[in-house]
Amino acid sequence: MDPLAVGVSAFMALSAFIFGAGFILIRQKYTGEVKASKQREEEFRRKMYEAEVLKEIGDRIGYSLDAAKIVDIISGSLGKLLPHSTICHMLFDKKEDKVNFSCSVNEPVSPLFIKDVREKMIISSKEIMQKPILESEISESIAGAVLDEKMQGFVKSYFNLPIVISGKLVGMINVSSTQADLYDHSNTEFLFTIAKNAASAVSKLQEVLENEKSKLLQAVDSLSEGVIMVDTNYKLVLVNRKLKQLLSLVENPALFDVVNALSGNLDLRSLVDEAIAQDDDLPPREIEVRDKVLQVLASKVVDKKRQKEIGVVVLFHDITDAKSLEKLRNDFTSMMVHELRAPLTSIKSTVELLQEGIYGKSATDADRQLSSVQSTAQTMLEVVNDLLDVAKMEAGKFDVISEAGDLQGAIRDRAEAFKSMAFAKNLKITAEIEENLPKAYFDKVRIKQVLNNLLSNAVKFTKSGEIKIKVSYQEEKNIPMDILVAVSDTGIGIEPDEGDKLFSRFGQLVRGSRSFTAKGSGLGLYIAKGIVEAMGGSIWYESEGAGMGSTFYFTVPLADSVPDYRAAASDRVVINKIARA
Amino acid sequence: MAKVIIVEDDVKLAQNYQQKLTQEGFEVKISEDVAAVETIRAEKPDLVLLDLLMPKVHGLTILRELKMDAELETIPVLILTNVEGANELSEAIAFGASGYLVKADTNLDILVSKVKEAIGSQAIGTGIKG
Repeated sequence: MDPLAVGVSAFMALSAFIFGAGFILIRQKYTGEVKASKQREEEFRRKMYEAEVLKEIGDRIGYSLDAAKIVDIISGSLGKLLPHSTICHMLFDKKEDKVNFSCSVNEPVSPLFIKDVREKMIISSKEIMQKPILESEISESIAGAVLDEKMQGFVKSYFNLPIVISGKLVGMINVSSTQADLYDHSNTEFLFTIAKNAASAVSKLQEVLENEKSKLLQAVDSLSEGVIMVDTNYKLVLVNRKLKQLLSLVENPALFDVVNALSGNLDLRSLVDEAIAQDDDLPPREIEVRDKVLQVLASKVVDKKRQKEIGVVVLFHDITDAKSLEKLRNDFTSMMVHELRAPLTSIKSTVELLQEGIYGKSATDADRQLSSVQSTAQTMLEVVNDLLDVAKMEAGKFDVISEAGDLQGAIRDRAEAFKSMAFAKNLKITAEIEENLPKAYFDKVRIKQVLNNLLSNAVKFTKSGEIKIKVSYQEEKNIPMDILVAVSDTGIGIEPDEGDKLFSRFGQLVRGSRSFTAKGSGLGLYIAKGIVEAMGGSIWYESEGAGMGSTFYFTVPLADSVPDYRAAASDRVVINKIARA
Repeated sequence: MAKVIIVEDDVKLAQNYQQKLTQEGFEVKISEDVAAVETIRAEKPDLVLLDLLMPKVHGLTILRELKMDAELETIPVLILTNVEGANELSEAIAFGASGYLVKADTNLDILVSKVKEAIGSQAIGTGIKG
């Protein structure tokens, strides 16, 4: 053999081998690339799909969240990606205990096929929920290709895609086919990922919305007015804390509880109807419930987008205090009219009788009548003076002119002055004054007024026993602070609920009929408080209760402790004006 | 002689009314608020002059008791008041008071004529003088 020929043939053989092999290698590489690019394409399509689904969920869900939308979006576009005979879904309405089963049929299947799908979904749901689903709870709707009784075959391949939001199964999607082996891990896994992502996006959104909602609810809850909202079907949408408190409602009341608590004082149903029928807010009305006066305002709530009434908000404003203040004012006016007119009437009729000669037939009779007129006029003058003082106090024109002086003189003087009044009721008055009392800083005229008020109250409200005045000075770390005056009696005492109102303008009205026996303006303590405070002291009382007597205390600053006085280092007079609301 | 009972806590005023009405020929008794109903039951007067604002028993309470008592309900009651326009006044009329007198606006002669009118309208008290 020609060595060249051998060489050529060997080369050819070799090259044929090489090329052949090369060809095989290239082929192999090519099919690998095609497969990979197909996979990439598939991957890309899935990614695109996932992005689309998530975007659509984002776009469509907005502020109203429901599982139905997610299920709808996912199952709606799923068909484009996978071969299938049916796409069905179930929606679980936890509140209503209802299951909505609906199927979109792509190619004719038998009713048994659908039944099979349904069965498979129920089994899977049951496993997730750990709770059986009752047939009676399921409502069904089928759309798409017709069901054909003649068709054979059950579900040959399928997969279930559960939609779980915030840990709760809200829906399930099922894709089934009459062909076998269509779905496996590799071509369905991405769907599970999408479902998971969509659900978690919704969970987050739900959380945000819940937060917003709870912020709103908290705001409504912390309102000082009672609020309820009722929808157009008379269903209670919202009750805030204040209303529960106002009407003593249970924790999660139904509309029935609210209606019950209103005990016929307000027809809530017709109020709702009226509010919906009216364009403007209804005029406020007042109702009385459980010793409370409530002002009720109702206005309809309109969904602006849809221009439709969605319910009525009813506001309950507690005006009990304002009402009772109004009543107090009226009672006070009535009392003043009475207190001023009564002595006048008495004076007038006495004078009439004197004129007619029915009275005063003898000089002593005339004298007696005149002195009665005089004392009645005096009573009236006191009432008028009190009223004028209060008017001045409230106008900020009531002057207290304080100066340094001895308090004991003033106290002894008043104790003496009340002796005869106390004696007439068989009461004893004693004054116990601590020795070496430092100089105090007070208005010499006004302090008399304070003592007069306290002492006349003590005498008025005490039937038997004694009235004690005790004067001492208080020290703090051996430094004298102020002088304490205590006026105690063994009288009717003060009930705890009479409280601080005793020093208010309507003090006597608060003490009620019990004190009505005592004539006068009833403004004494209110004026005393004004004077004591303007002098730089304070006033209070102690009583063990009704029938236990009472002690009224007030303090007077020491002359040394008053900065204005010390600074001036003289008997400078300081004028304090009382201004009160 | 027609009999009048005055239920009024202002003793001086009650005495003045008593003097005037006695002068006019009425037999007049003054009663304390707590004893009012009993006194009226015992005396069977032709007219009651009843104050409203009294310390122990409110005039309205007395009026209600009188009007609920078959024996006493026909006795006319004139309300004495000093607070016009008070709710109590309309309540008193609703309870069956014959009328009212605003004390500060009433002189003794008006009192006498109102008393006569009230007794007359009930066709009792034939022995009224004047």
